[in-house]
Amino acid sequence: MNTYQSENPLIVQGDHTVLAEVDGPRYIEARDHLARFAELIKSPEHIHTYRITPLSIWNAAAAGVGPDDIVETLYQFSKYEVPQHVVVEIRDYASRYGRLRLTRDADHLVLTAADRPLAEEISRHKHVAPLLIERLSNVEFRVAPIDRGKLKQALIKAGFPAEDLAGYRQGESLEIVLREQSLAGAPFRLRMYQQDAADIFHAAGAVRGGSGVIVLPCGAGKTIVGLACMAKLQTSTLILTTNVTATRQWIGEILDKTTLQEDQVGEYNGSHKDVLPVTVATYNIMTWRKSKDAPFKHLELFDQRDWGLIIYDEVHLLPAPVFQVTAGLQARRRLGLTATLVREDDREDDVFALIGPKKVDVPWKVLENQGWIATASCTEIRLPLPEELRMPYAVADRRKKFRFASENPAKLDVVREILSRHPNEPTLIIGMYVDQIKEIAGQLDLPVITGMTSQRRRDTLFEEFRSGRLAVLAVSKVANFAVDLPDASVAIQISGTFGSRQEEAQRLGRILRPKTGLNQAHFYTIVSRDTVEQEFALKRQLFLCEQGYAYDILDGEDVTQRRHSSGHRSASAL
Amino acid sequence: MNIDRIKSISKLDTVTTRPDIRRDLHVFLAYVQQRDMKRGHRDNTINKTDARRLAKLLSDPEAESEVNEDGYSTWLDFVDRFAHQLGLVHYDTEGTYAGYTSQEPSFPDNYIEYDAKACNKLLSMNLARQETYLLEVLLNGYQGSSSEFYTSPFGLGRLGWFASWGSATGVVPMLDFTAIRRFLLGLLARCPTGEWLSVDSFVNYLKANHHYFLIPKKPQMKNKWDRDKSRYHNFRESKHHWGHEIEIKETDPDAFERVEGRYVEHFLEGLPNLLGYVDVAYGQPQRKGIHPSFGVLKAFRVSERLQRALDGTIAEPTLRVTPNFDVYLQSELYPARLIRELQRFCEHVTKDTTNVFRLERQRVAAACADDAKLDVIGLLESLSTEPLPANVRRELLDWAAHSDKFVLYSGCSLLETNKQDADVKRYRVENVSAGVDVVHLPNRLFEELEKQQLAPLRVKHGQKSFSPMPAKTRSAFANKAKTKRKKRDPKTKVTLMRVTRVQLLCPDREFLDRMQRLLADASCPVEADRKRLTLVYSKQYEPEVTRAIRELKKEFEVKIDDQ
Repeated sequence: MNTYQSENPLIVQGDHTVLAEVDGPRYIEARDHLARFAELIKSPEHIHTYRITPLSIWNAAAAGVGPDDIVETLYQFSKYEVPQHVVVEIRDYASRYGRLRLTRDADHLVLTAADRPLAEEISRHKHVAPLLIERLSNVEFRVAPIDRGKLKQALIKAGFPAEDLAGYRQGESLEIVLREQSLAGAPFRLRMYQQDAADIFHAAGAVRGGSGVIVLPCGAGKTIVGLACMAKLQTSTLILTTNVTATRQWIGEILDKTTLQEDQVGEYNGSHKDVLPVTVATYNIMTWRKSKDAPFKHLELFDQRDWGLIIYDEVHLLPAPVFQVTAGLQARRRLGLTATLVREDDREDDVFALIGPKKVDVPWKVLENQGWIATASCTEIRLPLPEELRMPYAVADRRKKFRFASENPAKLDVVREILSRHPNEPTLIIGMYVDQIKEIAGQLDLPVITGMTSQRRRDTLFEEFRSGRLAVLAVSKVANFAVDLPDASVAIQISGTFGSRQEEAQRLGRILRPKTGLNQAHFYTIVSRDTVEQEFALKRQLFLCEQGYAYDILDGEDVTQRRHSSGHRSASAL
Repeated sequence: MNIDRIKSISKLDTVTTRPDIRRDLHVFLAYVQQRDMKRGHRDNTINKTDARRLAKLLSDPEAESEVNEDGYSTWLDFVDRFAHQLGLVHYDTEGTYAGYTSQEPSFPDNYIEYDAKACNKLLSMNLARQETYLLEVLLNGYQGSSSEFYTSPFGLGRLGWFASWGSATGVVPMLDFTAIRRFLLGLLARCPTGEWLSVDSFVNYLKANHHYFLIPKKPQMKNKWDRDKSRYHNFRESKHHWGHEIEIKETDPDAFERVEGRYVEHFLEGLPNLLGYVDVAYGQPQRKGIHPSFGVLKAFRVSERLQRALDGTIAEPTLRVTPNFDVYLQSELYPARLIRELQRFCEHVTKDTTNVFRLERQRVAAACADDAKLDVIGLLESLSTEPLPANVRRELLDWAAHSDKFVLYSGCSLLETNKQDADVKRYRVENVSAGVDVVHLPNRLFEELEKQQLAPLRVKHGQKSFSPMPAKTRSAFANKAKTKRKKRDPKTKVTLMRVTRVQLLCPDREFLDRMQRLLADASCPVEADRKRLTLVYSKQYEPEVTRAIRELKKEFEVKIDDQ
């Protein structure tokens, strides 16, 4: 115990947070160790914040990182004395993982406790006890296979996560091979981190692999990791996505990068109901029902084939009914893909229990430094409300205030200016209000995609945008999720959904895919100064700062005056 | 100095949390500064209400339950005493004899006074000087019967102590505990840091090399009649019950361990443990059933902080501001002054080794409004090890400017009008927007407007809330009475009749005629097309059609095929 080691980068706080000084000489080494057992909470410049939680310790334990490793890492890299109670609690949390094991015994599952007191405790727990069919010995209980998920959920809530060693069904066999050259003709090879992620998930087919969550930033190729896992397992696969566009992109990627043919890949949504060896469905269709009390009839899809793998895209958005069904699908391999484990509904423990522990987590900045995703510069441009709108704004209620500020007509000039500074770069103009988007698109003579745009029209516009025939596209919030626009390098946000951090991340994600040349993306947000819009923008800005992006703030007047006075300047001048 | 190391302390009990005296001292001072705290009339203790509140604020996790159960907390009492010793607060400790049956003094109206000058002086010192100052006060205090032999003077510890009966006589009053503690601290500073060391070995080292570090070989006694008494006369062991005292003789082979050894145990768990210079680990006593406890403290571990404290090289706190408006204040010891500074305009999010603050718009604007000289950016830049992030700097400029955006007008009113003549302009103090002005001399203006027969309307607002405007008032400001949802005009009712028509395609004209006849008999309107062999009827006549078909089924085998 040395109370102060100035060259060490970690500061372990009494509330189980760990602060990491990014500029320290030992940071990289410390981060690699720390990321195994602590969740990254925020990563602004200079200091990153991690948190050690029971879940993060259990995730680590599932990956084979024991308490001694964890404590040793803290001692090794800590700048100040590590609070003793934190060490004690780490050991306590870690000791709980693996004390209960779930194994298979002929037709039933067997839950085995490490000792009798623990067996007694769980047998008396009001949520666990009903799931134990019969006591086989002092420390063993028989469990119905159908209750496998429910039991794991109940045990994690009781504070004793079970190690699930009951194995998986193989599912229908299906030959899936990754191409070396995509159908489009481009060479295709897994990136190293994608290969690692697939290997860790698969775990050479062992029972300890086969279920879990892979956390990769937007643009890092989560779909490709999914394909790699499918290729490893060689089995029929059900893929659940957030919307139809994402469904089509999955299908496009599958056909482009694997040897699967069109008659092997089905689409299951509002307009198509093909159940083929690989089926891509949406969460919406799975949770659709006629009325509030009617059954979810499309959940039957889970039983319509003998799926060997279920992939949950954007697992942080997994809806509650799908959780319920997933609890009954514990015998099938499950892969969660996401950019963040943080759920708005705090159901991270359900993700752990039902999908599986976190297997891989690669921070955004790491991939950015390695050039796998583009470097983004974020700029907020503030401009005043026009004089004639100030009084209506002042006397309006809060919601209308936000709309007044968002639809500030002066934003048009700033958009023009930004577009003039990125003349040949693919640019998205993103807004929350359809009227505003249409107005600006009309003024600038741009095509618009909103919720009302037909799928065919969307596909056409996306294709033109992809091919470069279309340089600027105006989109409403429909483009937030999983829209694959590989060439977008500039995003101009003219209005946001209040303070939604998730949306901000998704919008930034639209431009993070790697680019040729400078690999530089630009994210502009235009807000009305001294308005509620600025307050909400600040909340969203905070999120990006916490992800490690520096933010510049500029005055709209300066931007537009420069345009009038000195004509074009370089983009960096913004 | 060769002291045995202990390889594993897994079987020993280490203290996992230690209250922070540096922090709690300032918490106590801040509390006293904000409140008039009157001490107990009879016992001069902190009253229970304040004790409860303070216990929640202090870093000792046991304090709150102790106050709730026993009415006092050892740790709180120590913090209180220590603040008094430092001269940061003042109150009467002597009391006056109030003539009650008790011989104890009373303490009427004994308020704790916060000494702002002394506190500011302490806060103005750098951390190294503050540490030296606190250390000196702790070293110098707690002599004689208040020493580690007879009590736990530093608010921490689990060891038992000698009975203090007779401690005002004999050798104890003559011992210089300040020098003894300083000597032992010096020895600890020479120990290897970060390793668990054996207390027994340390005591053996003292026995061999500094046998008389505590009690001189030929000590001076306070009273002449004590001269013949043993060096260890003041220290008596006992069994469970009174009357079973065991004398410690100088000739006993383990006499040094039983007296000096016990003191070393008490010392280690006291001052150096309190200040975080050592960690201690406890085990089972060497001899059970003997008081005070003996050989319970088994191991200690010296930290580097001790050397830095003795050298005066404790590092000053460092501050970093990140682009997400977090301020990280990193300090080995509690940086009270900076915390006070930052709390003026930041939310204090985390109180720990690294204190985390968050810059907030309202707080910054309010602090700037309170203190026109406050330069938040300048202050942060002077304290920060890195340049301020550009976005934070820019926001702070805006937030600080918010305090300049409001001007308080006294004796003025707000005039809303569409009349912009010279009469109104004479009263204008500030034009808010088109048609809205701040005006002075409102009474006179109102009279003038009345004289001009403009039928002005005057709304007087209460102290706590705005009065609603009368109905039918024209105003740019939202009027709840006015903004009631308008009833929609009643919609024109339209009824659309829906008629489903069924077409039957007959096999031949004969069948068609028979069918048509039967339907006509049943008064069922039907359209027949003899060319196309179709019969068309409204679905409401389905029963009649069914009856007709049933009738025909007597002669034909009828099958209906829906297309």
